[in-house]
Amino acid sequence: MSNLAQNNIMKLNYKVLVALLMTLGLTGCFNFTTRVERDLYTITERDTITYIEQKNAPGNRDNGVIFPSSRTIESYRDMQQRDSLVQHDYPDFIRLSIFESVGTIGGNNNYSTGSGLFGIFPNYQKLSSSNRGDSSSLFTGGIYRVGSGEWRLRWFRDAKDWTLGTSIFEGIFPDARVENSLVSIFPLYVKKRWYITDKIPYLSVTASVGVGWYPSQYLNLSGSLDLGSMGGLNLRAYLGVAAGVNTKNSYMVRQSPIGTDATTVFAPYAGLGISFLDFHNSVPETYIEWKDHPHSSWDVGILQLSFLYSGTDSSALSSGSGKTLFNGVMIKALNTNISLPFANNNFYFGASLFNLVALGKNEWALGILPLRVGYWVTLLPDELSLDPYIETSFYPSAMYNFAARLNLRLSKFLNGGLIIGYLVSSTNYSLGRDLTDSFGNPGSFSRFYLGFSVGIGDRIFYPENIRYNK
Amino acid sequence: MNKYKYKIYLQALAMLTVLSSCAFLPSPDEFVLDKRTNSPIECRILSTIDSVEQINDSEVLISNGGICAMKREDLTQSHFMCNINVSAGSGIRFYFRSDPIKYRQDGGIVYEFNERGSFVFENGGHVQTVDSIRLQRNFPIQLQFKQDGSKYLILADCDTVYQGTTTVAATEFIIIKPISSNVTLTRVHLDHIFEYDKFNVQSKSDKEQLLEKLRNN
Repeated sequence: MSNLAQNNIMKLNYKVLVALLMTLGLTGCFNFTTRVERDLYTITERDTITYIEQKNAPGNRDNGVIFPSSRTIESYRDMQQRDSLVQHDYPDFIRLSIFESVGTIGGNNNYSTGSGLFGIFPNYQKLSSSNRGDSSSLFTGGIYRVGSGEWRLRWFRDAKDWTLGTSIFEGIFPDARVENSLVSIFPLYVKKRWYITDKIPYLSVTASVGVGWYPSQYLNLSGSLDLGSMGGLNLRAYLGVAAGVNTKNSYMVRQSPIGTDATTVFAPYAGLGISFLDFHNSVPETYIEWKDHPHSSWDVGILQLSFLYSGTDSSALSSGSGKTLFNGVMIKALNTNISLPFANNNFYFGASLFNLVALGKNEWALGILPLRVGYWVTLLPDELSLDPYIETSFYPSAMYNFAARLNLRLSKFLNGGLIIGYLVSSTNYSLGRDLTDSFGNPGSFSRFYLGFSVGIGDRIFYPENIRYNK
Repeated sequence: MNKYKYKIYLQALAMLTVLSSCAFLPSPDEFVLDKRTNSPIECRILSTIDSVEQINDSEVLISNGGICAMKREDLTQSHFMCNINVSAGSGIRFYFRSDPIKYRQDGGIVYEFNERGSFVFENGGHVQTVDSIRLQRNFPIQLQFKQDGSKYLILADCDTVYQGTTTVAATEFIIIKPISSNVTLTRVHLDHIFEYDKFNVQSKSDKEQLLEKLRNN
C-alpha cells in the first residue's frame, strides 16, 4: 500500500474517531431518547402521642378521702412532612434506528451495483470502490443509513406528525460509480407523516426533504410507504430524487478510478427498503411511560456472539493445528424475534441482518437476512428462557439451522447462555477472495454444534412485557 | 485546500445553527405566567393547543374543551389566587392536589364552580356544597386556594367555601378545566404560603405566638 493511500486511510480514521467522539459528547449532554417528568408530592402525617403515667405509692391508701391522683397525662402533638418525588420516564423520539438499507432502481443500468432486493445482497466478488458494476441487475444501487433518529418538530401551531431527523451516516448510491455517490454525515431531514393505520404495525405515508452537507452537498426529496415498526423491523417503498455535487476534493471523487473532476449528480430513484432495530413511536406513544410501553418482541438485540464446539478437524478461530475448546463461532447481527399472537403468544418470527457461522476452516456459511420461527419458553420469570428455533437463509449460503438457546438475562443490555444446534449448509455463490482467503472455501456440510453465547445490546422480554398479554 | 476547509466549517456552522434553532423551538403546549415576577408559573396545555391561550403576563383564556395545568417547581405548600370570569357556558373545575395523570379519574381535591353553586369533592367523593357562591356570567370572582400540610382552604371572594383537612398528598399542580364554557383567568398568582397565613400550626397558641413573633420583628 502506498504512503498516500495509508495517509488517506489515517485521515479517514481520524475523521471517524472525531465523529464518534462528537456523537458521544453530544449524547452525554443531551438525553435524546427519554423525557423525564418529576412530580413532587408532599405527604403530611400528624400524630398525637399521649403518655399516661401512674405512680402508685407503696402501702395502703385511705379510702373515702379525697386524695390527689398520682396519674399524670402528657400529650405531644407532632406533624411530619415528607416529600415524595415520582419520576415518569417517557420516550422522547419518533424514530431511532440502527441500520436502514434500500435497494434502488433508477441509476444507470450499465453500472448496476447488484446489491439486490433491499440493497443488502451484494455481489461479494465486486465489493470494492473501484468496481464499476455491470448491467445484469435490476437494482442499480442503494441507500444506506446508519444511526438515524427523528424527533417531533412542533411547528405550524403544533401541526401533526412533523419530525426533524438526522443520521450519523447516509449514503445514496444511484449506481456503482463512486463519483456519483452522495454521502453525508448528519444530514438534516424534515419529514411529515400521514398514518393510514394507527395501530402497531403502523402503515404510513411519509414525505421528506433532506439536506446532506459533508462530504457531498445534496438535496434529497422523497416519499415513502412505511410499514412498521414491529420489534424494530420496518419495510419501506421509496420514490424520490436526490441531486447534489461532489467537489473535486471530496472523498468520492478522489476514490474514483477514472480521475474525474467535481461531479454533479441527479438521481431519481424508486426502491424497497428494510431497516433493523428501527423503533417507531407515534405521538400518543410518547406519552406512555417506558414501563408501560407495549413491546412486540421476545428478544431484540444488536449482536449475538456464540463460541461453538463442533468436532471439526480445523478451527475457525485459530490458524494453528493445536486443539482448542471452541473451534467455531456464530455471529448474528441486528436480531429481532417478533411474538406471534396465537398459542399464548409464544411462537415467534425472527430476522437478522446476517448470520455468519464458522465451524471450522472450509466449514462456514454466511446468511444475509436469515429468517426463523421459534417457540419462546420463559423458564424463570425475569431470568431464564429457552428458545428453540429453525432458521433459514438463501444467500450467499443456503443454510438450515435447527437450534435451541438457553438464555440467562444478566441485564437489559446483556445476556449469556448455552446454544446447541444442527447446521446444514451449502454455498453456491462466489464469496470473493477477501473472505475465502481468510476462512477458506465454504463447502457443503452438516454438523452438530454446542457452545455458549453472549447477547450484547440484546434485550430479552418477558410475558408481562408483550403487548398481546397486556 | 484552505478554502475547502473553511467551506466545510461554514457548512457545519450553518447546519448546527439550523439544528439548534429547530431543536430548541419552544414547545407550543407550554407557556409561563408571571414571567417577570419572582414566582413564575409553568403552564402546560393538556388539550388542543388552540383551546388555551396566554393573553397577558398573568392572564389566560381557556376555551371550551381546554385544559391547563399550572405549577411552580417544587412548590407544594402554596397559595393560589386568580380572578375568574366566565363569559359563556356553565362553569369551571379546579383540580388541586392532583397531577396531569390523576386528574382524569377526578383524583385529588376538585372545586367545581357553576351556576348551581360551589362543590368540593375529594378523590371523587362529595365533601361540601355551598349554594350561595354561584357563577354569574361576566361577573368576576376571586378564587383562593391555600394548602398547608394536611389542611386546605378554598375562598371565593371573601367567603369560605371549605376549610378542612385531607389525607391526599399535596402536589405542585393546579389543573383548570372549564365545563362547556369560555373562561378568562386574570391576576393568576401562585406563591409560597406566607408564614402569617399558615393555618397548619400545631395549636392556636402556637399560631398566636408565631403572629406575635412576626409582629415584633
